Order: sequence, then structure tokens, then C-alpha cells
Amino acid sequence: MNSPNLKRGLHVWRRNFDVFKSYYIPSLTRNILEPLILLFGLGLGIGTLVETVNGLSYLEFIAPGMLVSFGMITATFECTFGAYTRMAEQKVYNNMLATPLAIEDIVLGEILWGTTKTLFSAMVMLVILMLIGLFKEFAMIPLILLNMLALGATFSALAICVSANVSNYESFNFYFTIVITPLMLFSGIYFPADKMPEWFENLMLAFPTPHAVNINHYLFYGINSGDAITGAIYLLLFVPVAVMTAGYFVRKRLIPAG
Amino acid sequence: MSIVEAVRLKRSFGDFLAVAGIDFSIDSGSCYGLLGPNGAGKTTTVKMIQGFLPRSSGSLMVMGRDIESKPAKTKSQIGVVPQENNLDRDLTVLQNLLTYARYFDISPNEAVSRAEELLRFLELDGKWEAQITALSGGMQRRLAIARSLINRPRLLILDEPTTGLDPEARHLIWRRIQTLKQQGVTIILTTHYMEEAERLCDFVAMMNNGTILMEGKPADLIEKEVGKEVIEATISKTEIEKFSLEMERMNIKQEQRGETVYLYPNKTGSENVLQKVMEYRHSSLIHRKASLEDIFLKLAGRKLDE
Repeated sequence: MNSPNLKRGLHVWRRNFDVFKSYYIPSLTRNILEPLILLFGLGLGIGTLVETVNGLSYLEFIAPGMLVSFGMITATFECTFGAYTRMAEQKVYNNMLATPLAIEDIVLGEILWGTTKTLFSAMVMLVILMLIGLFKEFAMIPLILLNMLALGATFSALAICVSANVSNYESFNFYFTIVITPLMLFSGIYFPADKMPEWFENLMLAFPTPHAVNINHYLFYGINSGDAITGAIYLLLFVPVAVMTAGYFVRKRLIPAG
Repeated sequence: MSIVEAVRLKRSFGDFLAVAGIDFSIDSGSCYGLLGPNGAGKTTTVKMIQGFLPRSSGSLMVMGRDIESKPAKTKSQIGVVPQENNLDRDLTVLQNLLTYARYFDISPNEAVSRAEELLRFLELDGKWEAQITALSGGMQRRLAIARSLINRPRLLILDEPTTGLDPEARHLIWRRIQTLKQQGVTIILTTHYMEEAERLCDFVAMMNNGTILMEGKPADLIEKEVGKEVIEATISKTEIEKFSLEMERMNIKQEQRGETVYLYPNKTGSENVLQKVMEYRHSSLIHRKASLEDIFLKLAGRKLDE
């Protein structure tokens, strides 16, 4: 396995960015409307049933986690459907491999791109949260974005691992249903994780999402600093492993074994 | 000076030996043809040369370096037109070239001027902003060739560049390949069109089942293996055996495929043979110059027939 080259990885990023420029309007529409719909839907619905959660209004409680949930979905979509199309359907990776680019460069570029889209979605959502008064800790913005960067890289890399191992679009259902949906529901986003049985709460800590949620809760409201530090260490260790694993699987898929 | 040198080059896929330990050497500035039926090992060979597939064993030097050490550096001097169409369908014609140029670290200004030049060279001038899906098969292939030249490669690999194209598109590509040869680009061409190989290649290697059966200049190979002329005689079923025996007595090399007997008169001269064929009723004959196709049929024909 070769180590990726950042400059060559950025060439891949740039290719995706150039393509994105031609369809940024639907993408931006989703980035703006989806959080609004969710916030109002949940705020007006569940928010009226719940008075406070750990001293926060329900909307305040879910805002940091929604950032994570939305970022996770953004990276996952980009690096499942998007990356799979480029790799398997359009054979874009094959055309790249006839140039100085290596598989590791391509995977790095794809992960950087998935991460960029996650960051972009997070920024749009932060602006929305600011405008409706749910986010006030402006000094924390760089750290929140750093957390989202780690989250984006993590879920981009995981999605590429999945893409490299499926042979059709339908198979993504396994990943979405078995992994992504439970992560959205049981990571402390919509209700506190300690409402679940302790063993289940601990089991969920094996996955990246609850850690990113804990970090955001700390950065938004200064609560549970210990969990946030654990989360930061977890993500720091998880990201490089996930990136390497993605490179391994793409190589395995594209270059037939001897 | 050789630009590609393979020694006992081998590549297997599981139990299947796709390239079974071949040796060849390609001179700088020449056009080298890898010929043979589908599944002969041509594409596997070129995929190793372009640094896509690692070899199983043997050695493979490309431009003086082991292709598997510092592949980025070697690949920066290679152009590839793959058999499969992998143009970037998310990008326009011009964007395809500019994006590809970026992969080679070519500066944007340089990329634009090369792209313009190449689109003219391949007669795609009016198509800059076109979507890939709006191009005909021939145009797409020409764009793939333009793309492969964006880095001004020393070595150009063309994997079946004209398969599935109409004669006009094919002739345009042939003319362009000839121009590139004159410019000193080394070309590796895989094809199963023997006419194409005869026109373009200085050297050809006939492959089958992962081995090189013979190698040389097309004219030399034809002369040595087939002779100057071929007579194709179609004889009725009832008489074909008798005819064949008669030819054997005359010491004429022959190859029988269905009702057609391919005769290679060589030094004995074709006059007697032609006269004999005329004596047979229901016969028809074609008398023509020998070509690479005859070698191809001689070598692989028997296996292909099975």
C-alpha cells in the first residue's frame, strides 16, 4: 500500500468540485431546506410534548446532534452513491489510474470531497441555527468545524469501504438500514443516550457518531467535557484507520488479485 | 534503444494464467503490435506495461525503470487509450482534457493550449462544449486518443483503438497514428484487425493463450510463414478430399476450413495450382497477396475452430 499524495488527491477533489458546480442549486436547496424542515417539524411536534432535556429546550438539545446527523448523511450519500457511480459505473477511477494518480490518491481525494460537502452542510446549518437563535457560541465555530471535518472524513471513508464491496446500488440498503439509521437514532441526537440501557449506550460508543455528538454538545453548551475529550481521541484514532481501510478495499476491488 | 523490455513476464488470475512468461523488447520510436484472438493476453500485457496490473513474476522495464517502482514518474510519460470507454461523462469534451491534464500536473494555461491543439488534431474542433453522451462512438474514441496525448507521452498504448468503428473513423485514426509515429512516439497497439497491424506496425507479436507464438516485421513474418500469395479454393464436398490429396502430392502447403482450402504455393509458383483448381467443378477461387491474417488463421485458426 502506498501513502497518498496530497497534491494528487486534490486533483481528484477538484474534478468532483468542477462537476458539483453544475448542480450546486439542488444541493444547496437540500442543505438549506432539510435542516429547516427538521427543526420546525421536530420543534413544533415533539418540542411541544417535551419541556426540557437536561435543562435545555428540546430544539436546543437536538441542534448540536442534528449537525452531526446531517453531516453524517451528507458524507455517506456522497461516498456511497457518488463514489460508487464514479468507481463502478463510469470507470472514472480507471481513467485516473492511467495518469500519475495512484489508488490511494484517488481515495484521499474522494474523502476530502465528502468531507468538504459535510463541512459545507455544517456551515449552512450553523448559519440557520444562528439566525433562529439556537447557536450563540461563535468562538467555538472553528472547533465545531474541526469536529465536523473529522466526522466527514470518517463517514466518507466508511462509505467508500462499503462502495468498494457492493456490486449494485440496492446493496447500499444494508448499510443505510443496519448502520446509518441506528446511528441516527441511538447516538444521543434526539434523546439523551443515558435513557438507553447502559450496555447499549456503551455499545454505541464503539461507533463514531455518539462521540461527535458529545463533542458538539460540549462546544455548544460546555457540558460533559470528559465525554468530549474521549470523543476527540476516538475520532483522531478512527480517521486514519478508516482512510487506510478505504484505500485497501478500493485497491482490492480495482486491481484483480494475481 | 528499447523503451519496454519484458523478461519471462507472467500474470495469473487465480488459476488462470493470462500471460505465461513472455519475452519481448520494444524499440524506441517503433510501433509494436500485439495481435491475437480475444483472450490471448494482449490487454493483460498492456495493463502491466501501463502500471495498472502488477505482474505475477518476471521483469518489466519501462523507459529504463521497473514499472512497479516509482509508477507515478513512469506513468507521467505514458498515454493510454483503453479498450473500455472511460471518458468522464460528468464533464464536457474540453473539461475532459483539462481535468486529465491536471492529473499530470500540467499548468492550466498549458493545458488549454494543448487541448485546443489536440482537438484540432483529432478533428473535434466544434465539439468543445459538447457532452460526452452527445458524441458518436468514433468521436468518443478520438477524444480518448486526444486525452491520451495531453501529457505528450513518449510511449502511447492503444488497446484496440478502432474496434467497432466505421471505415471512415478508422482511417482517420490510422492517419493520426501514422503522424504520431513520424513524430517519434513509441506506440504499442493491440488489435485483432490484421490489416490495421500491417499498415501501422513495424513489429508484431502474435499471441495466443498467453504466449507469444512468433514475432517480427510483418512482411518478414508473412514471407516466412505463408509465402507471397494465397489461393482460396472453394471445392464441393464430394471432391474436396481428392483435391486435398492432389495438392499434397504437388507439395503445396494447405489449410482446410470448411469447404475452403487455403493454398500457399510459395516457390512452386501458383500457375499449376490455379490450373488444377479450374479442373474441379463447382469450384471458385480467390488469388491474392498473403497477409498477416493468413498467419493468424494458420496459428490460431485451428484453436478458434474448436
